[in-house]
Amino acid sequence: MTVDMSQFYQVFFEEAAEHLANMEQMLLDIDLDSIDDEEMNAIFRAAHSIKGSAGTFGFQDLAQVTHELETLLDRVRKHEVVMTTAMVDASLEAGDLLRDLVAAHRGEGSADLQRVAEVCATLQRLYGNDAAAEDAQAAPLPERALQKSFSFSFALPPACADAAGVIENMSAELEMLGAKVVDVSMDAAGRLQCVLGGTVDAAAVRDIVEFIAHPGSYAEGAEAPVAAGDDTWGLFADDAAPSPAAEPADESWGLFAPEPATGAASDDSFGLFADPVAPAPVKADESFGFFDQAPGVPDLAQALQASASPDGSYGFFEPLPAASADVTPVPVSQMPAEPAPVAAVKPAEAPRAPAARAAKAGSGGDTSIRVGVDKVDQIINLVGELVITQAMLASAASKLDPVEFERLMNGVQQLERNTRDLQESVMSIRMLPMSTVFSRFPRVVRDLSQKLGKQVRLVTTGESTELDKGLIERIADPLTHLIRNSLDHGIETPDLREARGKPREGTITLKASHQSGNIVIEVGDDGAGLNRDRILSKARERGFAVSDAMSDSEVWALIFEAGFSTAEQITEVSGRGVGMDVVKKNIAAMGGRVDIESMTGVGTRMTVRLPLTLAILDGMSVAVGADTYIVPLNYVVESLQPTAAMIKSVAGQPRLVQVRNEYLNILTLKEALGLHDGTTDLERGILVVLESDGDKIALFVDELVGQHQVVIKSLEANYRKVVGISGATIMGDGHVGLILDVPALVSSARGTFAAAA
Amino acid sequence: MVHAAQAASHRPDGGVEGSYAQEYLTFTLGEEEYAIDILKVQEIRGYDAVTGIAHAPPFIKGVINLRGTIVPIVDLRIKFGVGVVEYTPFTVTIILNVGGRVVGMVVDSVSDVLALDASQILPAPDFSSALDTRYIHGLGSIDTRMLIVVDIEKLMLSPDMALVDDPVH
Repeated sequence: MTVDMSQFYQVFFEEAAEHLANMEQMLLDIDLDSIDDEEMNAIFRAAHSIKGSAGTFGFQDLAQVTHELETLLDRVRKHEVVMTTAMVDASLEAGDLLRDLVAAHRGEGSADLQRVAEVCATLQRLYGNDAAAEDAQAAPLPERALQKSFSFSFALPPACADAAGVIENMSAELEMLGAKVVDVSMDAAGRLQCVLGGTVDAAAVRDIVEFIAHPGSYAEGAEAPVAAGDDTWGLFADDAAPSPAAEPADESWGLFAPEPATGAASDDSFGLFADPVAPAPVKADESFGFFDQAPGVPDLAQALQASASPDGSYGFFEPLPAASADVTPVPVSQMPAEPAPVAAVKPAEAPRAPAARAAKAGSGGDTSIRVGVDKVDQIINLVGELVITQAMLASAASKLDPVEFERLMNGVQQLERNTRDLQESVMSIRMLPMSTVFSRFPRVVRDLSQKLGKQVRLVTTGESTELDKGLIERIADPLTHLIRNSLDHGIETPDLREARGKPREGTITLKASHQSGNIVIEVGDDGAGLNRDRILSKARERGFAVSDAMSDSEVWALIFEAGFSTAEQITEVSGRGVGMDVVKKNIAAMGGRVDIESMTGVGTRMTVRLPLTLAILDGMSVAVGADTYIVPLNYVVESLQPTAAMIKSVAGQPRLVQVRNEYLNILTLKEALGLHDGTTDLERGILVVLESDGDKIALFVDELVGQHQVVIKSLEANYRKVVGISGATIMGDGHVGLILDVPALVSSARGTFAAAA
Repeated sequence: MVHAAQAASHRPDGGVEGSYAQEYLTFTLGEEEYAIDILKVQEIRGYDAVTGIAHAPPFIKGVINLRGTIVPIVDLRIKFGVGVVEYTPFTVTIILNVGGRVVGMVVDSVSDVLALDASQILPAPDFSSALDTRYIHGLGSIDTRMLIVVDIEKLMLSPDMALVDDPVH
């Protein structure tokens, strides 16, 4: 019976990581002035989900921290306390701690129990303060929330011979959850009544018990005492007036004696009256009373038998009226009609909330699956093959008589459409938007700016730029470093900024875009800029060969040298001089490079250029002779068919075209690439106006073919770099199409023109 | 692989008794027969239409799409100046895997797979030809046939083939 839980750990770790990331994101988005209930609920749900599964897997430290966090969030959610910055900070801190704890359980690093205690204390202080002031009744609850007891009942499958063995196994399982089996007894109907002590997660218990129980026979009793983090049961604490009967003399849990249970079970109502552990009005001694001797109970049992539906239906709701009635025996006996409707309405409302919560959490978890990248790559290649096969079929079919083979033709056409759609969707799988990386930076900036006492706003653009998953993962660390660096060294303190006539709040911009077959990611700040003199003097100090005649860009490049740091004060954030050279190395390892532009007093901009190994590009295909080339669409301004009047010659060569009020260089693709076929008669082709880095040229091609989304494949993997070509792609017909390197073409056009002039 | 490595380790000894034979794929270019280490061969396929590359030497026909990989194709007949350069349905492309790169080469036909042990491979005398003797491992002789045993990896990665950016490889 003992299930090896460790096989599920990995799932838990991944799930927890996802929930933590969500939670952090949402916490950062919170606008303290107008808190959206739905947002708070979402944050709460994330914490709740982690707590639930942590409990299931027996990670007590995780469960403890999330419990405190959940309690805090719940109070905010229910508007019992007002969310403050301190609370957001504490929640983020708790999130970090949870992440570390998860890592520790994974076997990476070790758990810091001291920190667990600290964070729990902080959280408790935050939610405890108000509670004590406002609500004396509820105040003691949170501290005690970990001490819950829980009861349930179930029937064993009819075929089960070894009841004792089953119970023993179950007890062992439950104890692994951290629950203590306080009492197990069997009632006359053959149902097992169990009471658990300790911290338990109802869902987890249900999972375990349902496994051994007769299908559908599991029923839960009430959780008690009231956990502040759970509104389901919360109403009793307020409603129930302590009555003498409800004050037990000792700390023991009493169970209903078999008598009422028997009565209940005999009419097929599943003995629910027997098992609810009544949520006794909480007294300082944490005890729970059961009242088989209480005066009100016999009446009550009868009343309930009457109200319990005879068809044998059962559920959460029935025990609750019983329980709430239990603790108020006096009104029951005095005015039997009154409390019943009240009790019936309230509990019915309460369970809905957790049910909805569970449903939402469930649907959220199923929106993505984890697949190995190699599998995706394999699919991409297979689809490529499929496209070729489809093209072969299409060309074979095109030789047939379209009338006679109409149905075949239709089929082939449909196949073509479907293959294209398939190819498109498959290609998009590997690509992730930059937002997956950018989303982590608001937190970095927030934490750092607080630590450094600076006011910084992070502006991100181009989040939807797609980048290959492999690169996304590897670019995150270098970018984090660049941002930290900008924040630490670039942005000045608010006072200094004010003195310099800048807004107190600094701005860090993070921008991603596609450019000349590269992904360009810019990290800019409006801070002090790099200090040329200081870099130079520092470089001399470090023994670098430098001279005052060096250009700015050469000077800036020095900060990427190993062992170089100009921070006047070595801070926790940066300044150990082991950062920038590592950044450069990492980016170079991805085949990219970093450039720095800086102006003193205005700011610094670091530009990371990465090649797109597998980025998708919107391209326009153009034909020259029999060959097809792809022009990246983002460079294309317009295309036009030139007339003789538009072509102007310089020194006898027709090399300019007048487009509206501009003269543009004409670059003939045929000549630029040294091709053999294709027309050179300018009036018989098309001019495509391209723009790169502010320069425009008109590229002359035979004709425009179409517009495609293409996957960029490296030409250099098996071949070498070709001037004027930035990469290759596979066209719909399976042939290779070459992607033009527009910036190179633009600059070469300027060069040839300059040479000719 | 073990097989090949052992054969290679024995070869300098000048043919140890019962030395391991290495298997070679033989192909023809015009009248000449060549042999290459079969472990460098990835697959053999027909000649497909290629996409020409700008500024490439004439023997580099272009690139093809080999199940999603862009593979350059060289025509050894043009490179060595042998045979008649024509592309028929019987023209064969041998796809090689050399030094982590995939390269295709066009030959007239593939003959067979032969096992040659070190004693069957004779040193080639120095001569000058389009194929530098540096890339000739030796001359295999089987009866009256002469096989030119080419170190295909060295050849394909050499600056002569213009397939690699950096000749320092």
